[in-house]
Amino acid sequence: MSVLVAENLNLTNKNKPSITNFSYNFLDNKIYAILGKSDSGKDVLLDLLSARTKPDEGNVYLDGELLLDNPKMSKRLCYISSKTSFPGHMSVRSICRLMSSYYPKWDNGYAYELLEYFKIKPKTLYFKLEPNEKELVHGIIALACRANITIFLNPLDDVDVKDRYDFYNFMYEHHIRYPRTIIISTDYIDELESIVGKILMLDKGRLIEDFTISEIKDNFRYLSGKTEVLKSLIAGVKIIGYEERNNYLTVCVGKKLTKDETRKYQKYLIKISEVPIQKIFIYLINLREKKGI
Amino acid sequence: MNLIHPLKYHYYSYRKPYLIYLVIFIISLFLAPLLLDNLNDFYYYYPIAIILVTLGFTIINSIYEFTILITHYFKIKTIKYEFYVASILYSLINSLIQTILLLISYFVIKMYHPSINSIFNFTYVSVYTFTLLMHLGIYSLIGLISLILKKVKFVQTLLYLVLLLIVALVSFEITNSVIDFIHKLYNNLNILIRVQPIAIITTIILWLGINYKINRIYN
Repeated sequence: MSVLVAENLNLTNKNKPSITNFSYNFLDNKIYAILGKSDSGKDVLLDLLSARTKPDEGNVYLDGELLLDNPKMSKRLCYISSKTSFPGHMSVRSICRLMSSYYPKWDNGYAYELLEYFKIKPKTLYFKLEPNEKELVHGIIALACRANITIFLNPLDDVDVKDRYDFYNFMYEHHIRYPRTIIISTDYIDELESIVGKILMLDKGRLIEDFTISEIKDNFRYLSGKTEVLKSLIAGVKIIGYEERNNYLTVCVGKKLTKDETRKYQKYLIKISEVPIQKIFIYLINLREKKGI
Repeated sequence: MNLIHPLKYHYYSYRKPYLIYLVIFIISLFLAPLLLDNLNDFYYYYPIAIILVTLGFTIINSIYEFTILITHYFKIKTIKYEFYVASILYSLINSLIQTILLLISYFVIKMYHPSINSIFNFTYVSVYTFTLLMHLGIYSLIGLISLILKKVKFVQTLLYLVLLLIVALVSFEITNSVIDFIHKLYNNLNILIRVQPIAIITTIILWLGINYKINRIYN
């Protein structure tokens, strides 16, 4: 059991985005997703959470102990980013052996099972791996290490959609078998919708929202229909985003629809559907930009 | 402090290049005397070649350690002083191996030409302690330079150094002077002994500098 606590993290950078007053408790055995624009500071935040960067203020605690420069705690945390790399002349097999000495719960059988599934030969040298294979190897390390806290930063950006789908399925199954805390920052959040427990939205280094998946499903709805019909129906309704294509309007409402409202929209042939998480994020960020926040 | 992690990282990173180097070096060690059948040539060039090759390997190792390996390591692990201590231990192991290679070369010289009074005389311990300290010093010096030139890629750093060496050797026609200097240095046991405390102190200062740079760069 492990809990990662970020306490009032502040970091000011000259060239990179900064982090301002970030406090959050990452609870045991949950999967968190962090969403943000490229300048939102999510990379910096994950560097802070994994004790790669020292904050100007605040601390990160793992199971009550300070994480920064703590060798005992570093065994419990695995951090994989798109920048993770190994010496080119190391074979995948050597990397697995090395990782088995780093992480006490390393599951070598599982690592080899995944390597076989993704058709990566253990004898292949690291520099000979294709970019997508490298990312898969990093992902496999993150799963097989079974660290109490696993942090992924844009883990599978170069991997094709099919392999990414399979990998996330493996991640889900492995998480069920060996529950642990996973924190993922990704641009492909819709692919992780069924796995993730909680979503944190970050903008300009600040935590702007945190939702559970059920909260998102309950509180945001798409209404789609002919522009003139829908426009007349949504007067006074809180709209967070809209799209109009060929006289067909789609609006995203930021509230839970009552039975009466649902019946009313259905009566006028308005289609009610779920909003993809990615879209909610885009609408919320656009709203903030319009308000000048 | 858990030194197992960084030491294992060093082991897995260096074992193949080291093995290749050792095999090529030892084969060359035994084959080179067959090419240098002139006794004067053999006496003049063979020990110098060994000193320069071992030194070259230490320099390449140090550049690789502090430009590439360190970057890979800190992408996986975060404890800086563990890597730092492991680097010191590795530089010690590397220097010991290079010194042992020098010792082996002495026996090879004796095997082919028993009459030659080699500069690597087995009875002169100071030759070996000096070599050990020289490798430690060069490793730390190049390591510190690599960290200072962190933004310059590994190959570029290496190219600059090789270029500098070639320019120095060719343009100024000092090849023979360099060889003479090394011969004189290794034949003068007094200097070899006197230089050792200075080498130790310099190496310690350089390692402190490396520690400072690592903390600055990877903070």
